[in-house]
Amino acid sequence: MAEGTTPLATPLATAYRAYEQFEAQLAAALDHVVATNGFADLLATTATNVMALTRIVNGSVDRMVRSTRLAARQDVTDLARQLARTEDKLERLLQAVESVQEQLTHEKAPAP
Amino acid sequence: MTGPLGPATAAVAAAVDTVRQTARLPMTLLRTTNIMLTTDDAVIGATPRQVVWTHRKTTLYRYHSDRREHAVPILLVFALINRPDIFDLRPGHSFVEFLLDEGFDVFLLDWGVPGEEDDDLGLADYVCDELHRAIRETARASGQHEVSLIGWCMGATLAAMHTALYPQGPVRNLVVLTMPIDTRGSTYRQWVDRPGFDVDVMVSNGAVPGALIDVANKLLKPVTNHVTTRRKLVESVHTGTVDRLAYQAMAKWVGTNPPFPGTAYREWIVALYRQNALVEGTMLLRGQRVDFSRIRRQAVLVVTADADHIAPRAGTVPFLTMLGSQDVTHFDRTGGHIGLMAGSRARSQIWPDLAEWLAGRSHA
Repeated sequence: MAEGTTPLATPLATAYRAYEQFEAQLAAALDHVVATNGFADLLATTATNVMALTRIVNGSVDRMVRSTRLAARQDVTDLARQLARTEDKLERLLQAVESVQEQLTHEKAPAP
Repeated sequence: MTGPLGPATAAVAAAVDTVRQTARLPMTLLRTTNIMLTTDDAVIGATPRQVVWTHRKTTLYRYHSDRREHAVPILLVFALINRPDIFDLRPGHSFVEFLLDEGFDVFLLDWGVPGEEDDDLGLADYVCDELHRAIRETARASGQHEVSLIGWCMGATLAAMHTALYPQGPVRNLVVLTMPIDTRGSTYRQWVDRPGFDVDVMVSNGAVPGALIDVANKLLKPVTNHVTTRRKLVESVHTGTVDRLAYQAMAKWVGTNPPFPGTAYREWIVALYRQNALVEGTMLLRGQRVDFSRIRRQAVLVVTADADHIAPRAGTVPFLTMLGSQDVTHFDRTGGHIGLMAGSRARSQIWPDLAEWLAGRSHA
Protein backbone atom coordinates (compact mmCIF):
# COMPACT_ATOMS: atom_id res chain seq x y z
CA MET A 1 0.00 0.00 0.00
CA ALA A 2 2.95 2.29 -0.47
CA GLU A 3 2.05 5.67 -1.91
CA GLY A 4 2.74 6.24 -5.59
CA THR A 5 5.63 4.18 -6.87
CA THR A 6 7.85 4.39 -3.83
CA PRO A 7 10.30 1.49 -3.97
CA LEU A 8 11.03 1.54 -0.24
CA ALA A 9 10.72 -1.85 1.42
CA THR A 10 9.13 -0.37 4.50
CA PRO A 11 7.80 -2.64 7.23
CA LEU A 12 4.30 -1.51 6.30
CA ALA A 13 4.77 -2.43 2.64
CA THR A 14 6.26 -5.77 3.59
CA ALA A 15 3.38 -6.51 5.93
CA TYR A 16 0.88 -5.51 3.25
CA ARG A 17 2.47 -7.81 0.70
CA ALA A 18 2.39 -10.64 3.20
CA TYR A 19 -1.28 -9.96 3.84
CA GLU A 20 -2.02 -9.97 0.10
CA GLN A 21 -0.39 -13.37 -0.20
CA PHE A 22 -2.38 -14.66 2.76
CA GLU A 23 -5.61 -13.31 1.24
CA ALA A 24 -4.88 -14.97 -2.10
CA GLN A 25 -4.22 -18.30 -0.40
CA LEU A 26 -7.35 -17.97 1.72
CA ALA A 27 -9.41 -17.12 -1.37
CA ALA A 28 -8.16 -20.20 -3.20
CA ALA A 29 -8.81 -22.39 -0.16
CA LEU A 30 -12.35 -21.09 0.40
CA ASP A 31 -13.17 -21.32 -3.33
CA HIS A 32 -12.33 -25.00 -2.97
CA VAL A 33 -14.38 -25.35 0.22
CA VAL A 34 -17.58 -23.86 -1.26
CA ALA A 35 -17.39 -26.39 -4.10
CA THR A 36 -17.51 -29.37 -1.75
CA ASN A 37 -20.58 -31.50 -1.02
CA GLY A 38 -20.24 -30.75 2.67
CA PHE A 39 -20.59 -27.01 2.11
CA ALA A 40 -23.39 -27.61 -0.41
CA ASP A 41 -25.30 -29.60 2.25
CA LEU A 42 -24.72 -26.87 4.80
CA LEU A 43 -25.86 -24.11 2.47
CA ALA A 44 -28.85 -26.05 1.15
CA THR A 45 -30.17 -26.87 4.60
CA THR A 46 -29.50 -23.36 5.93
CA ALA A 47 -31.28 -21.68 3.02
CA THR A 48 -34.26 -24.04 3.35
CA ASN A 49 -34.43 -23.42 7.10
CA VAL A 50 -34.28 -19.64 6.63
CA MET A 51 -37.17 -19.73 4.18
CA ALA A 52 -39.18 -22.11 6.39
CA LEU A 53 -38.63 -19.85 9.40
CA THR A 54 -39.60 -16.79 7.34
CA ARG A 55 -42.83 -18.56 6.35
CA ILE A 56 -43.66 -19.38 9.97
CA VAL A 57 -42.94 -15.82 11.15
CA ASN A 58 -44.93 -14.29 8.28
CA GLY A 59 -47.85 -16.61 8.99
CA SER A 60 -47.83 -15.82 12.72
CA VAL A 61 -47.67 -12.06 12.17
CA ASP A 62 -50.43 -12.29 9.58
CA ARG A 63 -52.71 -14.13 12.02
CA MET A 64 -52.01 -11.55 14.71
CA VAL A 65 -52.78 -8.63 12.40
CA ARG A 66 -55.90 -10.33 11.07
CA SER A 67 -57.18 -10.88 14.59
CA THR A 68 -57.29 -7.10 14.94
CA ARG A 69 -59.52 -6.97 11.83
CA LEU A 70 -56.89 -5.17 9.83
CA ALA A 71 -55.80 -6.31 6.38
CA ALA A 72 -52.68 -8.43 6.74
CA ARG A 73 -49.88 -9.05 4.27
CA GLN A 74 -51.64 -12.01 2.66
CA ASP A 75 -54.80 -9.94 2.13
CA VAL A 76 -52.82 -7.21 0.41
CA THR A 77 -51.05 -9.84 -1.72
CA ASP A 78 -54.41 -11.36 -2.68
CA LEU A 79 -55.69 -7.97 -3.77
CA ALA A 80 -52.54 -7.28 -5.77
CA ARG A 81 -52.88 -10.69 -7.39
CA GLN A 82 -56.42 -9.89 -8.45
CA LEU A 83 -55.20 -6.63 -9.98
CA ALA A 84 -52.41 -8.48 -11.79
CA ARG A 85 -54.87 -10.98 -13.23
CA THR A 86 -57.15 -8.18 -14.37
CA GLU A 87 -54.19 -6.56 -16.08
CA ASP A 88 -53.38 -9.89 -17.75
CA LYS A 89 -56.90 -10.00 -19.17
CA LEU A 90 -56.68 -6.42 -20.36
CA GLU A 91 -53.35 -7.11 -22.04
CA ARG A 92 -54.76 -10.13 -23.85
CA LEU A 93 -57.74 -8.05 -24.94
CA LEU A 94 -55.41 -5.32 -26.19
CA GLN A 95 -53.37 -7.83 -28.16
CA ALA A 96 -56.55 -9.22 -29.72
CA VAL A 97 -57.80 -5.74 -30.63
CA GLU A 98 -54.44 -4.84 -32.18
CA SER A 99 -54.44 -8.07 -34.12
CA VAL A 100 -57.92 -7.39 -35.51
CA GLN A 101 -56.89 -3.80 -36.27
CA GLU A 102 -53.88 -5.01 -38.28
CA GLN A 103 -56.04 -7.55 -40.09
CA LEU A 104 -58.54 -4.84 -41.05
CA THR A 105 -55.74 -2.56 -42.25
CA HIS A 106 -54.41 -5.33 -44.49
CA GLU A 107 -57.88 -6.04 -45.88
CA LYS A 108 -58.50 -2.33 -46.57
CA ALA A 109 -55.18 -1.85 -48.31
CA PRO A 110 -55.58 -1.77 -52.12
CA ALA A 111 -54.27 -4.84 -53.90
CA PRO A 112 -50.99 -4.17 -55.72
CA MET B 1 16.54 1.80 -2.46
CA THR B 2 20.03 1.99 -0.98
CA GLY B 3 22.12 3.36 -3.88
CA PRO B 4 24.52 6.21 -3.17
CA LEU B 5 22.70 7.25 -0.01
CA GLY B 6 23.93 4.32 2.02
CA PRO B 7 22.03 1.85 4.16
CA ALA B 8 21.62 4.16 7.14
CA THR B 9 19.95 6.87 5.07
CA ALA B 10 17.69 4.30 3.39
CA ALA B 11 16.63 2.93 6.75
CA VAL B 12 15.73 6.43 7.94
CA ALA B 13 13.79 7.07 4.74
CA ALA B 14 11.91 3.79 5.18
CA ALA B 15 11.07 4.66 8.76
CA VAL B 16 9.83 8.10 7.73
CA ASP B 17 7.72 6.56 4.98
CA THR B 18 6.21 4.06 7.39
CA VAL B 19 5.26 6.83 9.78
CA ARG B 20 3.84 8.90 6.93
CA GLN B 21 1.75 6.00 5.56
CA THR B 22 0.50 5.08 9.01
CA ALA B 23 -0.45 8.66 9.76
CA ARG B 24 -2.54 8.73 6.60
CA LEU B 25 -4.44 5.55 7.43
CA PRO B 26 -7.19 7.17 9.55
CA MET B 27 -8.01 9.59 6.73
CA THR B 28 -7.98 6.72 4.24
CA LEU B 29 -10.44 4.78 6.36
CA LEU B 30 -12.68 7.83 6.77
CA ARG B 31 -12.73 8.46 3.02
CA THR B 32 -13.40 4.78 2.31
CA THR B 33 -16.26 4.74 4.79
CA ASN B 34 -17.67 7.88 3.20
CA ILE B 35 -17.62 6.23 -0.23
CA MET B 36 -19.38 3.14 1.10
CA LEU B 37 -21.98 5.09 3.10
CA THR B 38 -22.92 7.33 0.17
CA THR B 39 -23.10 4.55 -2.41
CA ASP B 40 -26.86 4.88 -2.65
CA ASP B 41 -26.42 8.44 -3.94
CA ALA B 42 -24.72 7.17 -7.09
CA VAL B 43 -26.61 7.95 -10.28
CA ILE B 44 -27.19 4.86 -12.43
CA GLY B 45 -29.47 4.34 -15.42
CA ALA B 46 -29.47 8.05 -16.21
CA THR B 47 -29.79 8.10 -20.01
CA PRO B 48 -33.08 9.80 -20.98
CA ARG B 49 -35.78 7.33 -21.99
CA GLN B 50 -39.51 7.00 -22.35
CA VAL B 51 -41.96 4.27 -21.50
CA VAL B 52 -43.25 2.39 -24.54
CA TRP B 53 -45.24 -0.40 -22.95
CA THR B 54 -45.99 -1.81 -19.52
CA HIS B 55 -47.58 -4.98 -18.23
CA ARG B 56 -47.67 -5.89 -14.56
CA LYS B 57 -44.16 -5.02 -13.31
CA THR B 58 -42.56 -5.22 -16.76
CA THR B 59 -41.71 -1.99 -18.58
CA LEU B 60 -40.32 -1.48 -22.05
CA TYR B 61 -38.23 1.68 -22.42
CA ARG B 62 -36.97 3.44 -25.52
CA TYR B 63 -33.91 5.69 -25.29
CA HIS B 64 -33.89 9.11 -26.93
CA SER B 65 -31.74 9.27 -30.00
CA ASP B 66 -31.27 11.83 -32.75
CA ARG B 67 -28.72 9.97 -34.80
CA ARG B 68 -30.31 6.73 -35.83
CA GLU B 69 -28.29 5.11 -38.61
CA HIS B 70 -29.23 1.44 -38.40
CA ALA B 71 -32.71 0.27 -39.29
CA VAL B 72 -33.04 -2.73 -36.99
CA PRO B 73 -33.68 -1.70 -33.35
CA ILE B 74 -31.93 -3.32 -30.42
CA LEU B 75 -33.81 -4.78 -27.44
CA LEU B 76 -31.73 -5.30 -24.30
CA VAL B 77 -32.78 -8.03 -21.86
CA PHE B 78 -31.22 -8.66 -18.48
CA ALA B 79 -31.68 -11.28 -15.76
CA LEU B 80 -34.61 -11.41 -13.34
CA ILE B 81 -32.37 -11.23 -10.27
CA ASN B 82 -30.65 -7.87 -10.84
CA ARG B 83 -31.79 -4.56 -12.26
CA PRO B 84 -31.13 -3.92 -15.97
CA ASP B 85 -29.40 -0.61 -15.12
CA ILE B 86 -26.12 -2.43 -15.71
CA PHE B 87 -26.71 -1.73 -19.42
CA ASP B 88 -26.75 1.99 -18.60
CA LEU B 89 -24.47 2.05 -15.58
CA ARG B 90 -23.33 5.67 -15.40
CA PRO B 91 -22.90 8.65 -17.70
CA GLY B 92 -19.72 8.20 -19.69
CA HIS B 93 -19.66 4.47 -19.08
CA SER B 94 -22.94 3.20 -20.44
CA PHE B 95 -23.49 0.49 -23.06
CA VAL B 96 -26.80 2.15 -23.94
CA GLU B 97 -25.08 5.49 -24.45
CA PHE B 98 -22.46 3.77 -26.61
CA LEU B 99 -25.07 2.07 -28.81
CA LEU B 100 -26.95 5.36 -29.23
CA ASP B 101 -23.71 7.06 -30.30
CA GLU B 102 -23.20 4.26 -32.81
CA GLY B 103 -26.56 5.08 -34.37
CA PHE B 104 -28.76 2.30 -33.00
CA ASP B 105 -32.36 2.59 -31.87
CA VAL B 106 -32.17 1.16 -28.34
CA PHE B 107 -34.92 -0.38 -26.21
CA LEU B 108 -34.62 -1.89 -22.74
CA LEU B 109 -36.84 -4.50 -21.15
CA ASP B 110 -37.11 -3.98 -17.39
CA TRP B 111 -38.70 -6.89 -15.52
CA GLY B 112 -39.38 -4.59 -12.58
CA VAL B 113 -39.44 -5.64 -8.95
CA PRO B 114 -41.89 -8.52 -8.54
CA GLY B 115 -44.00 -8.81 -5.42
CA GLU B 116 -45.56 -11.79 -3.74
CA GLU B 117 -48.56 -11.40 -6.02
CA ASP B 118 -46.30 -12.28 -8.97
CA ASP B 119 -45.42 -15.71 -7.62
CA ASP B 120 -47.51 -17.27 -10.39
CA LEU B 121 -45.17 -15.98 -13.09
CA GLY B 122 -43.15 -18.83 -14.56
CA LEU B 123 -40.48 -18.95 -17.21
CA ALA B 124 -43.16 -19.46 -19.87
CA ASP B 125 -44.83 -16.21 -18.81
CA TYR B 126 -41.57 -14.31 -19.09
CA VAL B 127 -40.55 -15.86 -22.40
CA CYS B 128 -43.87 -16.34 -24.19
CA ASP B 129 -45.74 -13.31 -22.84
CA GLU B 130 -43.54 -10.54 -21.47
CA LEU B 131 -40.56 -10.92 -23.80
CA HIS B 132 -42.74 -11.88 -26.76
CA ARG B 133 -44.87 -8.76 -26.37
CA ALA B 134 -41.86 -6.54 -25.71
CA ILE B 135 -40.30 -7.68 -28.98
CA ARG B 136 -43.52 -6.96 -30.79
CA GLU B 137 -43.84 -3.51 -29.18
CA THR B 138 -40.19 -2.75 -29.98
CA ALA B 139 -40.75 -3.50 -33.64
CA ARG B 140 -43.96 -1.46 -33.70
CA ALA B 141 -42.45 1.55 -31.95
CA SER B 142 -39.42 1.45 -34.20
CA GLY B 143 -41.48 1.04 -37.36
CA GLN B 144 -39.57 -2.11 -38.30
CA HIS B 145 -40.43 -5.77 -38.79
CA GLU B 146 -37.28 -7.11 -37.16
CA VAL B 147 -35.26 -6.55 -33.99
CA SER B 148 -31.86 -7.46 -32.59
CA LEU B 149 -32.11 -9.15 -29.22
CA ILE B 150 -29.24 -8.76 -26.76
CA GLY B 151 -29.54 -10.89 -23.65
CA TRP B 152 -27.13 -10.96 -20.74
CA CYS B 153 -26.80 -13.66 -18.09
CA MET B 154 -30.21 -15.19 -17.40
CA GLY B 155 -31.65 -12.63 -19.83
CA ALA B 156 -29.60 -14.31 -22.56
CA THR B 157 -31.10 -17.69 -21.68
CA LEU B 158 -34.61 -16.22 -21.84
CA ALA B 159 -33.79 -14.52 -25.16
CA ALA B 160 -32.38 -17.74 -26.62
CA MET B 161 -35.42 -19.71 -25.47
CA HIS B 162 -37.72 -17.16 -27.08
CA THR B 163 -35.84 -17.21 -30.37
CA ALA B 164 -35.98 -21.03 -30.41
CA LEU B 165 -39.72 -21.03 -29.73
CA TYR B 166 -40.50 -18.35 -32.32
CA PRO B 167 -37.90 -18.86 -35.06
CA GLN B 168 -40.13 -17.13 -37.62
CA GLY B 169 -40.69 -14.16 -35.30
CA PRO B 170 -39.23 -10.68 -35.52
CA VAL B 171 -35.82 -11.57 -34.03
CA ARG B 172 -33.19 -11.11 -36.73
CA ASN B 173 -30.01 -11.06 -34.63
CA LEU B 174 -29.49 -12.81 -31.31
CA VAL B 175 -26.62 -11.77 -29.04
CA VAL B 176 -26.10 -13.79 -25.87
CA LEU B 177 -23.67 -12.49 -23.27
CA THR B 178 -22.27 -14.80 -20.56
CA MET B 179 -25.28 -17.11 -20.77
CA PRO B 180 -25.89 -20.14 -18.53
CA ILE B 181 -27.14 -23.08 -20.58
CA ASP B 182 -25.27 -26.24 -19.62
CA THR B 183 -25.16 -26.62 -15.84
CA ARG B 184 -23.13 -29.85 -15.66
CA GLY B 185 -20.28 -29.54 -13.19
CA SER B 186 -21.30 -26.09 -11.97
CA THR B 187 -21.11 -25.17 -8.29
CA TYR B 188 -24.67 -23.86 -8.42
CA ARG B 189 -25.90 -27.25 -9.54
CA GLN B 190 -23.94 -28.91 -6.77
CA TRP B 191 -25.65 -26.62 -4.26
CA VAL B 192 -29.23 -27.01 -5.45
CA ASP B 193 -28.94 -30.72 -6.16
CA ARG B 194 -28.37 -31.69 -2.52
CA PRO B 195 -31.21 -33.49 -0.72
CA GLY B 196 -31.31 -30.75 1.92
CA PHE B 197 -32.29 -28.14 -0.65
CA ASP B 198 -36.10 -28.16 -0.68
CA VAL B 199 -37.22 -26.00 -3.58
CA ASP B 200 -40.86 -26.15 -2.43
CA VAL B 201 -39.96 -24.58 0.90
CA MET B 202 -37.74 -22.04 -0.86
CA VAL B 203 -40.70 -20.71 -2.85
CA SER B 204 -43.27 -21.09 -0.08
CA ASN B 205 -43.23 -17.35 0.64
CA GLY B 206 -44.19 -16.49 -2.92
CA ALA B 207 -40.83 -15.15 -3.99
CA VAL B 208 -37.25 -15.91 -3.09
CA PRO B 209 -35.68 -12.77 -1.59
CA GLY B 210 -33.08 -11.14 -3.80
CA ALA B 211 -30.77 -10.77 -0.83
CA LEU B 212 -30.69 -14.54 -0.37
CA ILE B 213 -29.75 -15.06 -4.01
CA ASP B 214 -27.10 -12.35 -3.67
CA VAL B 215 -25.61 -14.16 -0.69
CA ALA B 216 -25.39 -17.35 -2.75
CA ASN B 217 -23.84 -15.54 -5.71
CA LYS B 218 -21.20 -13.98 -3.51
CA LEU B 219 -20.47 -17.29 -1.80
CA LEU B 220 -19.15 -18.63 -5.09
CA LYS B 221 -16.05 -16.47 -4.47
CA PRO B 222 -16.36 -15.58 -0.79
CA VAL B 223 -13.03 -13.87 -0.20
CA THR B 224 -12.94 -12.09 -3.54
CA ASN B 225 -16.46 -10.70 -3.08
CA HIS B 226 -16.41 -9.91 0.62
CA VAL B 227 -12.80 -9.02 1.32
CA THR B 228 -10.74 -8.32 -1.79
CA THR B 229 -13.21 -5.82 -3.25
CA ARG B 230 -13.17 -3.73 -0.08
CA ARG B 231 -9.44 -4.11 0.42
CA LYS B 232 -8.82 -2.85 -3.11
CA LEU B 233 -11.12 0.10 -2.43
CA VAL B 234 -9.11 1.01 0.68
CA GLU B 235 -5.91 0.63 -1.31
CA SER B 236 -7.10 2.84 -4.16
CA VAL B 237 -8.28 5.49 -1.70
CA HIS B 238 -4.93 5.38 0.06
CA THR B 239 -2.96 5.73 -3.17
CA GLY B 240 -5.30 8.40 -4.51
CA THR B 241 -6.32 6.36 -7.55
CA VAL B 242 -9.90 5.66 -6.52
CA ASP B 243 -12.65 6.19 -9.11
CA ARG B 244 -15.39 7.06 -6.67
CA LEU B 245 -18.22 7.23 -9.19
CA ALA B 246 -17.25 3.94 -10.83
CA TYR B 247 -17.08 2.10 -7.53
CA GLN B 248 -20.33 3.52 -6.19
CA ALA B 249 -22.27 2.89 -9.40
CA MET B 250 -21.21 -0.75 -9.51
CA ALA B 251 -21.70 -1.24 -5.76
CA LYS B 252 -25.19 0.26 -5.94
CA TRP B 253 -26.11 -1.99 -8.84
CA VAL B 254 -24.69 -5.11 -7.19
CA GLY B 255 -26.57 -4.31 -3.98
CA THR B 256 -29.98 -4.01 -5.65
CA ASN B 257 -31.53 -7.46 -5.89
CA PRO B 258 -35.20 -7.89 -6.79
CA PRO B 259 -36.92 -11.04 -5.53
CA PHE B 260 -37.15 -14.06 -7.82
CA PRO B 261 -40.83 -15.01 -8.42
CA GLY B 262 -41.54 -18.41 -6.90
CA THR B 263 -42.77 -20.29 -9.97
CA ALA B 264 -39.96 -18.99 -12.18
CA TYR B 265 -37.43 -19.83 -9.47
CA ARG B 266 -38.69 -23.38 -9.12
CA GLU B 267 -38.56 -23.93 -12.89
CA TRP B 268 -35.12 -22.33 -13.16
CA ILE B 269 -33.68 -24.54 -10.42
CA VAL B 270 -35.42 -27.78 -11.32
CA ALA B 271 -35.40 -27.64 -15.12
CA LEU B 272 -32.21 -25.75 -15.84
CA TYR B 273 -29.98 -26.73 -12.95
CA ARG B 274 -31.13 -30.12 -11.73
CA GLN B 275 -32.33 -31.58 -15.03
CA ASN B 276 -30.09 -29.57 -17.38
CA ALA B 277 -33.19 -29.50 -19.57
CA LEU B 278 -31.94 -27.03 -22.18
CA VAL B 279 -29.00 -29.25 -23.09
CA GLU B 280 -30.94 -32.50 -22.70
CA GLY B 281 -33.62 -31.12 -25.00
CA THR B 282 -36.38 -31.68 -22.45
CA MET B 283 -37.26 -28.05 -21.69
CA LEU B 284 -40.93 -27.45 -22.36
CA LEU B 285 -42.63 -24.07 -22.32
CA ARG B 286 -46.40 -24.20 -22.78
CA GLY B 287 -46.07 -27.65 -24.22
CA GLN B 288 -43.52 -26.68 -26.82
CA ARG B 289 -39.97 -28.05 -26.68
CA VAL B 290 -37.18 -25.50 -26.61
CA ASP B 291 -35.05 -26.68 -29.51
CA PHE B 292 -32.11 -24.41 -30.32
CA SER B 293 -31.59 -26.10 -33.68
CA ARG B 294 -34.71 -24.21 -34.80
CA ILE B 295 -32.66 -21.00 -34.65
CA ARG B 296 -31.71 -21.09 -38.33
CA ARG B 297 -32.77 -17.75 -39.79
CA GLN B 298 -31.06 -15.60 -37.16
CA ALA B 299 -27.46 -14.45 -36.95
CA VAL B 300 -26.15 -15.43 -33.52
CA LEU B 301 -23.30 -13.94 -31.51
CA VAL B 302 -22.19 -15.83 -28.40
CA VAL B 303 -19.95 -13.99 -25.93
CA THR B 304 -18.14 -15.84 -23.15
CA ALA B 305 -15.73 -14.59 -20.48
CA ASP B 306 -12.74 -16.61 -19.36
CA ALA B 307 -13.05 -15.68 -15.68
CA ASP B 308 -16.82 -16.04 -15.44
CA HIS B 309 -17.65 -18.09 -12.34
CA ILE B 310 -21.41 -17.50 -12.50
CA ALA B 311 -21.95 -18.69 -16.08
CA PRO B 312 -18.66 -20.44 -16.80
CA ARG B 313 -17.49 -20.57 -20.41
CA ALA B 314 -17.90 -24.36 -20.42
CA GLY B 315 -21.59 -23.88 -19.59
CA THR B 316 -22.20 -21.73 -22.66
CA VAL B 317 -20.06 -23.32 -25.35
CA PRO B 318 -22.40 -26.32 -25.97
CA PHE B 319 -24.94 -23.77 -27.24
CA LEU B 320 -22.73 -23.19 -30.29
CA THR B 321 -23.19 -26.73 -31.50
CA MET B 322 -26.91 -26.78 -30.80
CA LEU B 323 -27.76 -23.93 -33.16
CA GLY B 324 -29.18 -24.44 -36.62
CA SER B 325 -27.94 -21.09 -37.92
CA GLN B 326 -24.99 -20.86 -40.30
CA ASP B 327 -24.16 -17.32 -39.16
CA VAL B 328 -22.72 -17.99 -35.69
CA THR B 329 -19.89 -15.97 -34.14
CA HIS B 330 -18.15 -16.64 -30.84
CA PHE B 331 -16.23 -13.99 -28.90
CA ASP B 332 -14.27 -15.53 -26.04
CA ARG B 333 -12.83 -12.65 -24.05
CA THR B 334 -10.93 -11.87 -20.91
CA GLY B 335 -13.12 -10.85 -17.99
CA GLY B 336 -15.74 -11.87 -15.50
CA HIS B 337 -19.49 -12.39 -15.68
CA ILE B 338 -20.31 -8.71 -15.27
CA GLY B 339 -16.90 -7.08 -15.65
CA LEU B 340 -16.66 -8.19 -19.27
CA MET B 341 -19.47 -5.85 -20.32
CA ALA B 342 -19.46 -3.29 -17.51
CA GLY B 343 -15.83 -3.14 -16.41
CA SER B 344 -13.49 -0.26 -17.08
CA ARG B 345 -12.09 -1.91 -20.24
CA ALA B 346 -15.44 -2.85 -21.78
CA ARG B 347 -15.76 0.38 -23.72
CA SER B 348 -12.56 -0.25 -25.63
CA GLN B 349 -12.43 -4.03 -25.69
CA ILE B 350 -15.87 -5.49 -26.27
CA TRP B 351 -18.48 -2.81 -27.04
CA PRO B 352 -16.96 -1.74 -30.39
CA ASP B 353 -16.85 -5.38 -31.54
CA LEU B 354 -20.49 -5.91 -30.61
CA ALA B 355 -21.51 -2.72 -32.41
CA GLU B 356 -19.56 -3.70 -35.51
CA TRP B 357 -21.09 -7.18 -35.53
CA LEU B 358 -24.58 -5.71 -35.19
CA ALA B 359 -24.03 -2.89 -37.69
CA GLY B 360 -23.25 -5.37 -40.44
CA ARG B 361 -26.55 -7.14 -39.76
CA SER B 362 -28.86 -4.22 -39.07
CA HIS B 363 -29.64 -2.83 -42.52
CA ALA B 364 -33.23 -2.46 -43.70
